[in-house]
Amino acid sequence: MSDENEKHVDRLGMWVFLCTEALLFGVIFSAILVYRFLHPGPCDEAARHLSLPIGTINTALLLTSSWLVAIAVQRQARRWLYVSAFLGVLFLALKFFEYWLHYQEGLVPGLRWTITARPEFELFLILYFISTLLHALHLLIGVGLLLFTAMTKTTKSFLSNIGLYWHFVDLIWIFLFPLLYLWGRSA
Amino acid sequence: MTIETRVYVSLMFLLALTVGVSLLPLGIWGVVTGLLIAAIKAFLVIWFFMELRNSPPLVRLVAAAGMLWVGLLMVLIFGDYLTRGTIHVLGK
Repeated sequence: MSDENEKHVDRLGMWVFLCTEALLFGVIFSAILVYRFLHPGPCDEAARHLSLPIGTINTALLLTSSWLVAIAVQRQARRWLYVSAFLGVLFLALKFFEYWLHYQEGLVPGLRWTITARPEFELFLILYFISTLLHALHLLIGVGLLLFTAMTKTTKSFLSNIGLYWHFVDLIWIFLFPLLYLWGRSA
Repeated sequence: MTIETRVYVSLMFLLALTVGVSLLPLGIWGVVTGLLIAAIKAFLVIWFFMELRNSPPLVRLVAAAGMLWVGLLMVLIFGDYLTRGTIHVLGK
């Protein structure tokens, strides 16, 4: 197969994989949406226990890292991948710091639950932990892939596809942020 | 400013906008606006950062198909719940 063809096939395969990931997270988004509509009161109340500053900073970190990955791919300048990987690590650090805050407040279902609230409140938090942990796992894998691509001599096509994966992880968070953090903030 | 930088500035502006809007008492419309802004951000990332605007038509078709399948997923799930009479949307 010619190089040109192989590049197109690689990219197509990557997009197909990303579509399967979209369906995976799509189901989780749907669960959050349905639950928000079924029990707006407890869900809004639970959402207000999440840290808006941390969520906002994290969104900014991922948007910046996506921009830098796009530049790295565009200019074939792999050193930007190191910066993006670092921003991803910062995200994870802030995320786990937020988890620690939840633990301190006794808001971790099954691990440390000290608040008296309706069961729906607790279930919203379960949805929050499942969705953000799954996203964090994808992000961690992404950081590893960025570093691998930055440090080894891969093809341009490989670099491009790793970029696609990273942008996708950013996309997930772009939707998770309003669904979990922003909805119900003003009540 | 390169196109990537322009897209980035737009994304950060949209982030500030969406956080600001979430603090206003708009009820369900706050949610709608938030998700709409998220959709615009998503389009910017997909079209520019993921280079869909420079991709061959087949790749664009696959991306569109992915969105359609997720859309179908959500339509069917919500079709179920909304027709059970247990969800009260928009005050109905």
